[in-house]
Amino acid sequence: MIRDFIVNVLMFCVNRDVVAFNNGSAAWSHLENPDSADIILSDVEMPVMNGFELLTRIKQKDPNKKCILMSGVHDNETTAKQLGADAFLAKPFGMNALFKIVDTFVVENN
Amino acid sequence: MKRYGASPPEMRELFEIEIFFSRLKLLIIMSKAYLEDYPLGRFRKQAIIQNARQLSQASARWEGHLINYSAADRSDEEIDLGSAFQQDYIFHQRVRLLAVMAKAFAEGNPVGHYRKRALEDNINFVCETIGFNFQTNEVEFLKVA
Repeated sequence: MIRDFIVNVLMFCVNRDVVAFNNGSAAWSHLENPDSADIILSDVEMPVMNGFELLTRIKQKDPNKKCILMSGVHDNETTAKQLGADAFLAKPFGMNALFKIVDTFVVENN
Repeated sequence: MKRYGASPPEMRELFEIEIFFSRLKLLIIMSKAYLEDYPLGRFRKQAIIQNARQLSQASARWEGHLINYSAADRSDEEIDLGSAFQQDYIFHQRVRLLAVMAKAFAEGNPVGHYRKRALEDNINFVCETIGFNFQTNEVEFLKVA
């Protein structure tokens, strides 16, 4: 539910396609194509492959890809930082947090 | 590492009702952007249609739950149940009307002066009910499609 909402917000903000996956493994299969995405926003809690493992694989393959992890558990923030996440989105959050992410990682990076 | 969202002591999973209100606020922003002639590209239109559809379905689920939109400071004894049900019913009808209106403009249906005014009135009603005040010019990136 939250994933579909985030897709709608980001798609509206950037007017670009935003793809979503049910689990980390499906996301990784998509991301193995180097041109697939520049910015990845992932929950920590996911079936099959969690957000930490996905982050680790992405950063190993291409450290320039921007990875944002989100979670409602405070302890996950420290792990996200240690693994090299570019940002941490703490739940619960409102639209303004997503707008700030777009400002920082899409608008400013361009 | 940058940080966004809730402060550490406030962290938890989002409630379904919070997502409902976030979707509603998003649809208000989308509609205001349209009324103020911000560019709507292909994916923005797609996002509006998807959000309108999801919001409409969620509204049907939440109708009758008597969410206390604007009277949080009143005790239960002070709330007239009959009027509360009526307020809830009207609110959800307005939300679903907003969804229909948003879907219509995103699909490119003709929207003349009076339809725009009706859209604006509906947005104002919903904003007042939920206490939401948002200015589209606060968000720079909406100006570019």
